[in-house]
Amino acid sequence: MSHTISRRDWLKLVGGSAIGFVFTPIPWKILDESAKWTQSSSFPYGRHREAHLQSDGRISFRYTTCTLCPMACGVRVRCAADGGRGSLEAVGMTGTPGHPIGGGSLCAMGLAGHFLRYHPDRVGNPVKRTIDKRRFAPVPYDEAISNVVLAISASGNGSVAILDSHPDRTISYVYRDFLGKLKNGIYVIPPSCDSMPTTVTDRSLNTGGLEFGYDLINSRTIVSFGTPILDGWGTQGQFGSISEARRHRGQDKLRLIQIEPIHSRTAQLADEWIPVRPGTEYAFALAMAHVMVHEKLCDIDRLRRDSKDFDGLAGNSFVRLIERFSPKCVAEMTGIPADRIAAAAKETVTRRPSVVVFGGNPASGPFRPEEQAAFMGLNILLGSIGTRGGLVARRELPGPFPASHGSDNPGHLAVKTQLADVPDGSIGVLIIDGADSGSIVPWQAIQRKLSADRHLVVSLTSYLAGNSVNADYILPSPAYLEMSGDVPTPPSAPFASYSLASRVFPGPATAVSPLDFVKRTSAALSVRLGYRYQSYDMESLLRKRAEKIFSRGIGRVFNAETGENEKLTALSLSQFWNMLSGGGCWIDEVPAKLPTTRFAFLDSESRTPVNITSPKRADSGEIALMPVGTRGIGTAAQSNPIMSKLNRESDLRMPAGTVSLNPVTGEAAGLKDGVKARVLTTAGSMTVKVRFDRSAMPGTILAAVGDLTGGSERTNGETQDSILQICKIENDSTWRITNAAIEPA
Amino acid sequence: MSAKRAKYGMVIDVDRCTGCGACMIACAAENNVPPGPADSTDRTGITLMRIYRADNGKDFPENESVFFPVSCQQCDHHPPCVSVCPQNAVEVDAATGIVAQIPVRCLGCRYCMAACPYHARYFNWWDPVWPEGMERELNPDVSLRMRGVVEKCNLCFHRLQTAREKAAAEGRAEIIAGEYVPACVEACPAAAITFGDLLDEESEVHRLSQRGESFRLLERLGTGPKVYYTSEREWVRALAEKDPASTPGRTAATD
Repeated sequence: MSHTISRRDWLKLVGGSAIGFVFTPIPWKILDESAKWTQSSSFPYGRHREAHLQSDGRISFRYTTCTLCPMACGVRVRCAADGGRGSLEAVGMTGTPGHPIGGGSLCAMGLAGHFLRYHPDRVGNPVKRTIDKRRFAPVPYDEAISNVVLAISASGNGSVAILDSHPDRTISYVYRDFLGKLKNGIYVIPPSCDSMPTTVTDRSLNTGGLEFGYDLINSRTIVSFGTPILDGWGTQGQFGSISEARRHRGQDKLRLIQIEPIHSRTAQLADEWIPVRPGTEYAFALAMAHVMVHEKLCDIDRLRRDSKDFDGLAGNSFVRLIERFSPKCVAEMTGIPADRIAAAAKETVTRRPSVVVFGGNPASGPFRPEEQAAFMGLNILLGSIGTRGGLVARRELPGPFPASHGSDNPGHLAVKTQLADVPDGSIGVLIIDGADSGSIVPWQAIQRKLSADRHLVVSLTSYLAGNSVNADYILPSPAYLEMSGDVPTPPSAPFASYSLASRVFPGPATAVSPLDFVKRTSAALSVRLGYRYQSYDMESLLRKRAEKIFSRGIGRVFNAETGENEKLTALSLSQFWNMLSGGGCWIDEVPAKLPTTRFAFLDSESRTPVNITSPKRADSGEIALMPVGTRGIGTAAQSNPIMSKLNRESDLRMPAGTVSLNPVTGEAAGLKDGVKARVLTTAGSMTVKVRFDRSAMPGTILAAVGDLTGGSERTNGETQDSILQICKIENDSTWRITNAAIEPA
Repeated sequence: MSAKRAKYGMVIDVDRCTGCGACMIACAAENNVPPGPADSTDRTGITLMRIYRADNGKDFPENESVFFPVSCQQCDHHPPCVSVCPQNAVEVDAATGIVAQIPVRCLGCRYCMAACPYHARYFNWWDPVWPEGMERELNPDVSLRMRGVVEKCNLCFHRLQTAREKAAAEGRAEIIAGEYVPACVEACPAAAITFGDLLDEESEVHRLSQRGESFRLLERLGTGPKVYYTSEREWVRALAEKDPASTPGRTAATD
């Protein structure tokens, strides 16, 4: 037997080994490890390698106040020194522990707030809408100012308006002073779900402009008409307190009754959800009032004594009105049995202190004025006005201008005007401040106020988001954390407060603060402003305001660094200023005294009494389109790319362009879960994605409002179209419900 | 380093959770999880902490909902991901009980994802990309993960390291309870998440985990999660034995 190996055998061995080797893990492992090595060795690579923070290990904390909405949460910014650039960068955000307003928490928007400086929608330079209206082109700042000045000079019969979503800031006073000096200036406030408009309180309570908040911490029962009490409404501190009080046992437990057609977060989590048919909330409120009055559950003698129109007037009295809203009659209208209406009324009375909240949700806007009067009527019946656990008036927060100068005199400042009260077609030049109220206002509601033939819209924003996309000029202001400002009392808070939003990082050189915009515009217009702030910067004005608060000698001050509270009287002015500029907060502890205890349910003796029509059956066969959204909807903070975690990378939040339907409603329209559909209204149509949800009320379409996340990543198909564009804007500037149809796309 | 043996875990009160998403955003920001690209979905996106909405399966108006924040359940008994990993890329820290993913060892086979009954592991389908400039604001304590590797919640282990360093600098052998808190726990505005050492009988987390209303997800599998949930609602507790990602009552969020 030969033991020689032939050439053929050798080749067979080699060939077989080579083939066999492929079937072993070895080559694949080598390939895999090689791929990892080539990437790991230089990771992070490319742009990230150069741009990634080269921290030198020094971590520090800066304290300030969040300005992404008016809720004044204390913010602790975790900063890292970037050794490579010699700069400081924010690398994390948390609430300031122990903060009296924020309660140490931030919302999802606030926790990602530091990323906003690099938001893809940030506007770097002044831009002007191009002639074809489709895009923006850079424009020199001086040229933009010249054109704005020209438009103001030529506004003629049209008014010059500033839309300020966060009133009562120091810059708001500057705006009002500027507008007050123009013969045609008006200062406009959009509706917000957190605030109680003074038009409502003045009409019902005759309180002369006093602002009201909710003392929810001391309430035992909250009756909420469509207000997202547990979903971003109010301050974080209020939310934390409510959350805690709801865990109590027995008599101390805070009970939340949510009355709305939408199975909202708050409805899901409330102690009781009463799903009334769309648009019938006010009837439910009046039926509750009917039960309270007829069963003498409230102090009838007090109501007769203290109100102008409880039952004294022959014609338009509250008692006469609620006669038409018996539970039996309203049951048909709302779809809620009469005994359940009566039970809700009795429980609200017996579990006092009770308070009725009626702000609406951030996407659907406010209730109509007559609906608000009905809700306010319930608060009056409950004795919740100016009482612990109810609606309380706040003591006035001083403005920045010295009283001696007279600028605090309303005669020198443009008065606050609600957007709904501005006549249609009356605004020639509209300047939109960049601050956000947290609630959205459809562009159509603003557009109808603009002069039809000639108008100019200027936005002082940092981002191409929200209504700034409709502006003719965008003059970028410094972004969040880049500009000093102040944060006055949150709209829902029961007591006055004041915080500073100190600048943490320098803004880009191309950004111009709103104060500089007003200074330059007024100088070009030769408008002589009422106060010498032409020579002041923002910090000086803030100091002036802090001095005025200090001179009152009331309230306490929270120190962000120590977490301690001190009486204002125990501090010097410089200590007070240092605490404020270090992320602290001044807070009043006493409510305002009401100037009168006389109420008016329907303002019957005025020239414009509240006119509430009789209940009628809900229309059958129509589908109610209702916009839904959370705080900050439509703002850059909500369209922060990282927010995709909530609405694209999970289904926690319904993304914009999606509607939610009960399967019964969807199948009746020939739709299936997940398909595209077309929603049609008298205002237009829009293609949306359908989601079936068994918790949705049949006959309703819940439509998510907002921008798509990740502005820079939008494709042509992902436009900024919002469902609000096809919602009907009523004459009273409300848009809660629109009759709609839905069909397969 | 802490000499005492601990077993870190958490108790999530789902009756308090409002599904606000603060924990999800805090987690993403803390752990440098990038925003998913425009075509990412709930299947391809990375959310180390994810809130699921589930309901009682009834139709309007009897429908009731609950929000379940679900992260890695930190299995105490034979974590399935540890058993299947061919790379030893998942390790259980004996001193803390933390089941930690080590992305640099991971080869991306995704066996662990298949093995995890809680769908708490995520695959990096893309390299991490932030809009220009945002990468400057990343947390310097956490390294980035490349495409092709799996990641999951490590209970913000880097925060434990920081707490230990602080304790060591102050001459202490042990960290003080409360010095080490994961980002999601810190961020929750409803105080729905209680975190701590489950072995510490004096701790709140131990007390809550022993309550009658507390439960764990898929307890029948015997994985012994160190994440407990608590609810006073019986139907919510019953959901615990269902797969969180395929619960019949699970529906899309409506707002």
